[in-house]
Amino acid sequence: MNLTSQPFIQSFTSTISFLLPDELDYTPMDEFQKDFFTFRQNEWEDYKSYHPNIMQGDLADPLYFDFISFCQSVVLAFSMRNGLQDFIEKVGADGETLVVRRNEIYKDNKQLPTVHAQMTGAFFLSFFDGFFSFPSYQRTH
Amino acid sequence: MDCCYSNTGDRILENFFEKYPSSILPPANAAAMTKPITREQLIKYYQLLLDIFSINAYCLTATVTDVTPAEDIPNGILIAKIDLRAPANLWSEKALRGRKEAIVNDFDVKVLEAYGRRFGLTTTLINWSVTQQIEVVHCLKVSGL
Repeated sequence: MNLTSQPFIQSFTSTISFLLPDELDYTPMDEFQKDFFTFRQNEWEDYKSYHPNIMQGDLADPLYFDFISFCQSVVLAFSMRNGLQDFIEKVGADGETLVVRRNEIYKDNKQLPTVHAQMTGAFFLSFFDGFFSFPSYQRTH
Repeated sequence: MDCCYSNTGDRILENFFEKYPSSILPPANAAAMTKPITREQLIKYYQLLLDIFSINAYCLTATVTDVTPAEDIPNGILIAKIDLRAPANLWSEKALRGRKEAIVNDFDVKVLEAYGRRFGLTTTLINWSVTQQIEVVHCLKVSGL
């Protein structure tokens, strides 16, 4: 991740939003991706009508990030309401499938949003952990 | 620390120090401190974390203020007010809260909550608002200080 030229927070949060459902194993990722694509497509024209100069695909454009982040959050919330305990997930281009079983710790769909929020914050901090422990920072405290 | 002096580590650190002023990052967790964290330190470290957001152009500015009522201080409570000016999620957070979605993209809140957890603190978002159509305000209640 190029810290100096990419919109770091935007890239990081967008990535995390997709990584965590895969980590929590409550929904098949192929279905999740499809739902995200469909929802985005349905909302795009209306959003664009209010922002004709928006740069589609560019997270550095705050308007585009705002849109994508909205779509991700809505689809995440929907997927959690309908979370599964075990399911078959399509993986790879050749139609291979995987049987996925959710960890018992996360079995309650109602707790998934809180777990997701906590993991998002924790992942963000862990990115900086390598720098937190650098001796020169320790000396200032 | 030898890993930090690998070629890749050198490049990342160089970029990092170029972008961030020295000693911008707070202690990693309670083990990195010799005494329990104080409310003044927590506010200072919150600000350092929020600076990461503004430095990376997620928002114009991000500031945190201690607005704890006097009667709550002896109870180990901190009320922290976060002001984000022109954040990248200005419209989406408002839209998500309007829809009462269970997932809201208040990443500053999530990061500060996670940081507090590293010190055994409990953090709750108790209020949010949008002011002047460009500023998002989050109020956090932190307990366990």
